[in-house]
Amino acid sequence: MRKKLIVFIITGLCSMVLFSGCWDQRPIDQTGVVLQSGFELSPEHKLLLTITYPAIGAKEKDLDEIISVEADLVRKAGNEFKTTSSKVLGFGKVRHLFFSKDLAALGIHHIMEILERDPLHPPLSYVVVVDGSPKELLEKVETFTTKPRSSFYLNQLLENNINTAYAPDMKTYDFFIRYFAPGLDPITPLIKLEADGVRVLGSALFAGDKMVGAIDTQQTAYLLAMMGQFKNTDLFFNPITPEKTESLKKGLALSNVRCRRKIRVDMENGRPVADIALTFTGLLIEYRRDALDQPSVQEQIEEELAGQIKQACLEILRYTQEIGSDPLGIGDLVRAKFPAYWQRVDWRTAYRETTVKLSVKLNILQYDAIH
Amino acid sequence: MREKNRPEHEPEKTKEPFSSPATGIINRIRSQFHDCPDFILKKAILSNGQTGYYLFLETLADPQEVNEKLIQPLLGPTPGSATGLNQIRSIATPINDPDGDTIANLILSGAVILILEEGEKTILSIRLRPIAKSFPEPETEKILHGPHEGFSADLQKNLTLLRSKLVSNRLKFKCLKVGSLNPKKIVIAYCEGLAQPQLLERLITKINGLKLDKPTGAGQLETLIKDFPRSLFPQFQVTARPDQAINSLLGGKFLILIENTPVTLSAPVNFFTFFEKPDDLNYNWLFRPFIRLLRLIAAGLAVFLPALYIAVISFHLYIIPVNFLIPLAESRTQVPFPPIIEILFLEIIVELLRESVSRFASHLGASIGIVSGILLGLAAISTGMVSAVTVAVSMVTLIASLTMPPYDLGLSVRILKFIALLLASLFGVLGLIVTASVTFAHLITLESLGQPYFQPLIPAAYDSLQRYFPIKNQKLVYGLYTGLTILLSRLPKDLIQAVQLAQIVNLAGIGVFGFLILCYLYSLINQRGVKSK
Repeated sequence: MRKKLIVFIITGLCSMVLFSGCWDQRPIDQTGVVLQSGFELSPEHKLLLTITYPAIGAKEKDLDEIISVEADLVRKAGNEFKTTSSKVLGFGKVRHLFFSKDLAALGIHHIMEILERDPLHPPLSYVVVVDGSPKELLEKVETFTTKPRSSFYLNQLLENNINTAYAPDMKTYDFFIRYFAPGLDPITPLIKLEADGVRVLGSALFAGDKMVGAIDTQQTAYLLAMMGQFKNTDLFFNPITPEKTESLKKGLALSNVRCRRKIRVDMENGRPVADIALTFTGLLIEYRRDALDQPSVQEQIEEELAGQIKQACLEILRYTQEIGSDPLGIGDLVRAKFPAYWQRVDWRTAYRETTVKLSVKLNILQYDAIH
Repeated sequence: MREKNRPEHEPEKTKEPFSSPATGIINRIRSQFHDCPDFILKKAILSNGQTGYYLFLETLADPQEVNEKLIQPLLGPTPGSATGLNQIRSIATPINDPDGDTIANLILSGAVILILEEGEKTILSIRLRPIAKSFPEPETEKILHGPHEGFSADLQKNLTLLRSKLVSNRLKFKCLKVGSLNPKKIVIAYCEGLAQPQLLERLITKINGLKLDKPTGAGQLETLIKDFPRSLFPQFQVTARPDQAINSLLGGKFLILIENTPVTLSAPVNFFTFFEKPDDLNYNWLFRPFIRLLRLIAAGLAVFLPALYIAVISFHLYIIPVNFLIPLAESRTQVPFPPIIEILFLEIIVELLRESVSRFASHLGASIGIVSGILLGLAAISTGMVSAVTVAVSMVTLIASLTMPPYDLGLSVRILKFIALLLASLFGVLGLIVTASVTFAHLITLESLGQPYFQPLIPAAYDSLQRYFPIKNQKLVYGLYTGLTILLSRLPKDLIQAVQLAQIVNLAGIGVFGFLILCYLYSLINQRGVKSK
């Protein structure tokens, strides 16, 4: 028994010696933990990479170190960083990957694939498109004294917007899944630097790895509803008739809106038809009108609002078809259900001619105290 | 005159006949108190010519007092006088309906039974003052509820304590002697009918086989008689608390009491008994498992927390959440040493502190501990020798290890902590996993007095299976079953029937595993997983 135990211990120790090559010691105080990376095109049409990491042991507290490098290759840039950084850079904790709009329009997979192959790179980092220059954004955010560290500020900003369905939840792994799936396209948050902060503009729509269009936050919410990724949020609507004309306020507000989606794809006359059914529920919280307790009035409001939602959704669908981006994954369904048809056509062109039928239903659960 | 069951565990010689009317009842009581060396039967020819029999337990009634108050007056200088007997009758209760059990119970409650042979039998029960002894609570084991009493260095006192707490004639003692130069008396206490007789044999053989000049105490005895002498883990439970000892006895365990030693050993134990305290049952049903789980977690923390900390900050820093990463890195910037030196430095200081405090008087120890702890901690952080987080980790480890008593499991935990620490500093979390798995492998092969150490958990499922699902050659059956499942799942998918068959087999497999889990849970609840060897 004891002999066995000794053999076991020796084997264990030996195997650890063999395995220890897989991972070198990385003392925490000597590592610069990169939290954000930015990618854009330099004026010379090269790659311009920017990274930020917390300056540990700096003279001043709560500062980030920002390094920018111009290079032809991502790997080369990684090497260039070493020449200016005092720490060993570790890319295992990157939270955001910022791509400039210009670069995104050219395609970003040739950059992302480097990250994909790197086992250290976290698949949970957000992919974000910046309207403007990521370098400028990161440098400017660092100077905002009323905001926390840039990585924390941007992370909270994105997460809050993702939780209210104003921005899509697009992590690196998600991006890869959508990029590699033949009938499914990525969609990422779109942000912009403003004078006193960063604003979430909505979503950037991709076709493959190229950005082809953008939509605003309210449209993002509707798109996410059609994608089946809607989160509990607030929605705002145009005024419906009859409204009290003397009020300053116009329109309606719904809160705690939830959505259920059903999607199915059929073949009609040799062409695919997507059938999407959306059921929204919510609470009416801001609206001026009399007789809200009467069922007929309530029904009318529900119908009108459902009509508005349907119109907005159809507009978005038309837009995505126009630019050739398929974030809903209709292509994925067609490919699964009608493989013969899929092999026959080029989906990018077939998608533009696909009929999408949409039915929207809205249930207002509560007509709150209205002011 | 005096007749006493000899303490040696030799065959009973007590069957020698009493040819008198009282013989029947005396022999009956005597047979109930076999293997009780403290049971005393005295025969006296009284001054009036009658024969009297005194029956009592010397652990409950002081033999000297019995002699002075009950025997001497009847042997008095004036033969034929009945005054002595009348005096005794005045304080005694006559027993009219003599029945072995009633008398045995009276004896167990500390009464002295006097049987007089006159024309007809007279049985008297006399209660003397109970032996007044103080039993101060041990310093090393404290409880909240429950009696605050402890064993002392006096073996006789300890036996008295056991007798008075466990009122049953099933409580038996075996007396042994160990040592050639300075022999010591060792008593093995057990409950007849609860403890397994084979284990008693085994224990006696082990103790008798010892060749020792001078036995020093419980720890030495444990080291010499345990099954796995080189193991880090205690195979006997050490306690100085009578309530804990009685719990063990009632749980069918053996208790070893040693002369001049205030602690007792009990065996067989399993790993989980070390996390149970005698007053646990006083708590609410929800709190009890909670507090036991807390103790298990504390043991885990005490062994693995410093190792995990080292592994994380020197190898796997990416598992730290970003919000904590920055303060952690900031706290380490001032420290000139590598993490392992830093934490070893602190751990060794903590161990030194423990050692020094345990050697001081208790009132001094506390203040020394606090002063040196606070001052050292502050000085170490402010001079940048160690980081604040490391101090916190060390202190949590210390607190966790203090939930265990400072001996038995506490010692193993302290040693294991250093092993895990060194391996983790060399190999990261892999070192920690290897330490944990080797420890676990060792624990499940360990035995205490021939009983499995991980008792309710490890051999449980297998044995329940045997009981509820009696298949001969189980390994072959399960092996064939697994092979079949794999083969069927490899068949081409268009053989629809084969696929369906595979699905059926898969379902059956899920059923078998569900059954296994049920068996496992059942045996866990009943704690009957292990058959006696």
